[in-house]
Amino acid sequence: MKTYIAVLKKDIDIENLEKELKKKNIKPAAHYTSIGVVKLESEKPVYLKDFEEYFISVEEDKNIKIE
Amino acid sequence: MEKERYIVVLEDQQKKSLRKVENELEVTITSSEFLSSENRSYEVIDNDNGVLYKNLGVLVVENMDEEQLKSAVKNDSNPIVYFEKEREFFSADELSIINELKKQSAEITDKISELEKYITNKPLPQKSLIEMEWGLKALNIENSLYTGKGIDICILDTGIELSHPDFSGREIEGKSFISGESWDRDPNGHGTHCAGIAAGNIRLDNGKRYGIAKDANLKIAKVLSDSGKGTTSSVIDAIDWAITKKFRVLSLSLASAVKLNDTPSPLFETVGARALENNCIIIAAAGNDSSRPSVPKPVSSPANTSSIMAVGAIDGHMKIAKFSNAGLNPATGGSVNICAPGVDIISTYPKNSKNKSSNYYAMSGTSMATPHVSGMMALYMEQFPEKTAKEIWELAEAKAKPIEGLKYRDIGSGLIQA
Repeated sequence: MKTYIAVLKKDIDIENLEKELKKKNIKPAAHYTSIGVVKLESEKPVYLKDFEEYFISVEEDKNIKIE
Repeated sequence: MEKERYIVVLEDQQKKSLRKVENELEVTITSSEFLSSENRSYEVIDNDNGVLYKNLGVLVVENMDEEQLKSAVKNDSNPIVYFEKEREFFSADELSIINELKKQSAEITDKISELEKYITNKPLPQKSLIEMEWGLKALNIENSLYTGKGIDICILDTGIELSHPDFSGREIEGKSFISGESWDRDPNGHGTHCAGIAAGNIRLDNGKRYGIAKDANLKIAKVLSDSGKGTTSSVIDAIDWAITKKFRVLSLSLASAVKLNDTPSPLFETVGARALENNCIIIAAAGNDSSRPSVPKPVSSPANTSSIMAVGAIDGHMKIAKFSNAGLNPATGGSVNICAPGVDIISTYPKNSKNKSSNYYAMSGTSMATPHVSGMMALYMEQFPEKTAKEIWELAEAKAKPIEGLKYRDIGSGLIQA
């Protein structure tokens, strides 16, 4: 299972998005309302082209470290 | 030689008196009756001749000995009762100009006197009684009257060692985004060090000041594990928490290296912009991947986005730190915005295997430069409560001091200043 983070477009229908995610076996792990971002978990890669109606961008969770 | 004429007033014009005056002043007196268009007064009056205006009882003479005239006035037996030098007269306009000039000159003289008095009496600059770490001196922190009071600064890092004596008495709010690890313990030490720079105060052992915004409300988000590693998602988790809590400054001494010409993450670009919309500024380390004098590496993520302020590091000799990344991708937003001290920075640190006896430790990195900027933001926000986060960012860059010999790609607008 990999984690993806997507930036949501404004004024989207969240319920419809949840249905679309369910169809593709993608689990919504968190919805950050203050910044309009969702965290997703999926066995298969999540592509922007499949969610262009809802997402500005989607990227896989990356490692980060102290500087 | 310039002619000087005198107006001499006579007591009477009897022949005897006029003769006495002629003898004393060694002049021949011509009566004004004999003046005409062919014989004008200025043609008559010279060293040897004067003109008497009979109707006025006034004699006009030239180049007289003033002492002689004075003694004649004093002498009661002399018919001369008064004298004065001939005056020049101007038209009303010319006079008003002269009067105006005199007035202005008097005002300027007053202002010069006032300025002179101020400079003479100005108190000598107060030398700070508290010794400071080099980084704080470089920021001219002693010039600031502000302490960050009332401003919420959130440190997104490895947590904080809350038992540290410099923090134990403070009210600090925190949350961990790392499973199984608490935000109020920091075996790593990195987060405690960064928190001290941004919002610490003075060392308990020697009284030296190392922290910038001592009265800021310190908030801790543990987004990096005790080993100093984390993921984008925990950082996003923490940013959402911080913005929901309306914190004003988020300090991210963390990074993920990028390659030359990599485009910035749309995720962080959007998050930075939405933070600014919520009156919150995100400040991030430019990264430590460089090894100068070799060609430096580009600014890391998330600092490489245009909506997050990227901080480079300098050393105590005002040189760019050898590890500090550079703005090599400016077209895509990957530039350094500002720089701050980041070499041999002493701050709070937990006692651990690296630091066995002291509560303080010296560290280097753009991680150390970043909380210098975050602390300064709190001072600005306290000073200018009406300014938005975006305006505070602009203010910081406008006040930053360029450093001679250092490039824009390395230090952006320059060294942040109080």
